Amino acid sequence: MPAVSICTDPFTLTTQAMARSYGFPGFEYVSIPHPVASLSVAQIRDRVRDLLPGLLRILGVE
Amino acid sequence: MSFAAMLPRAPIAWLSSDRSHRQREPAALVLTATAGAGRGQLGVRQALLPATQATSRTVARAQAAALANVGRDNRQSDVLPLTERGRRLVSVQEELLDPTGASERAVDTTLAPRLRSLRGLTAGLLDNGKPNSAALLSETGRALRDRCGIREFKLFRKGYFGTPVEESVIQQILDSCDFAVAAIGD
Repeated sequence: MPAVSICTDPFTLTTQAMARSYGFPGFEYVSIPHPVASLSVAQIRDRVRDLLPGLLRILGVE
Repeated sequence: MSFAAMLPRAPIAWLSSDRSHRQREPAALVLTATAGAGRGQLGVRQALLPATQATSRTVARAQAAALANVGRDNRQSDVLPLTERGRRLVSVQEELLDPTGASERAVDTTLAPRLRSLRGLTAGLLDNGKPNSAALLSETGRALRDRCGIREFKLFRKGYFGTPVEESVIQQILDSCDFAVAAIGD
C-alpha cells in the first residue's frame, strides 16, 4: 500500500536511519518545520498547505 | 541530535537496569552487545547481577564475555561458568534492531506502486498520538478531499508513539483504505 510519513526537520537523520534498517534506503517522506505540537489551528492549516505538494509527489500523483 | 544518531556503529554495548528478575533484586545489570548492526543481527544479552555487585570489574568481565559470544551460530541459552558469590551470568542470543541503520543488508525490498490519481480513493490516516498529530492529519484529509477528490479519509491511532503500530491497526488500514499517511515524527 502506498504510504507517506510526515516528520519534522530534526527527525531527518532518525527517519533515514530507520528506513535503511527496514531495507528502504531511498524511502521518501515529508519533512516539515519543527515544532507541530504547539501550533494553532490556523498554523496547522498553513503547514498542511505547504506539505501537500510533497505528499502528492511521493504518492506519485501527477 | 537524537539519541539514536549518537549511538556508536559497531560493536554496540550498553548497560541498563532490568527489574524483571524473579528474585526482585533492587536492580540488575543487563549487558547487551552485538558485533554488527542492522535488523536481524544476533546479539548477546547477559543478565543478571545485583547492583551492589555490579563493580567495574564485573562489568568489564561481563562485557568481554558478551563480545566473545557474538557470532555464534546457535541461539541456545547458555549458563556461563562465570560466578560471583555463587551467582551466574545467563547469556541469551536474540535478534536486535540497530536504530542507527548502519547496516543495509536487507535491500531486497520494493515499494508499493505509486498512484497517479487519488480521485475516489480512501485515505488511511495514522495518528501516532503526538500532540497535534490528529489535527494535522484531519486537516490533511480535508485538503486531500477538497483538492484531490478522495472519497473519504479514516483516522487510526497507534497505542503509543514509541512502539510499532499494532498489527490489528495495520490490517484495518489494509482492509479499508487505498493509501496511508502517518504522522508525526515531532
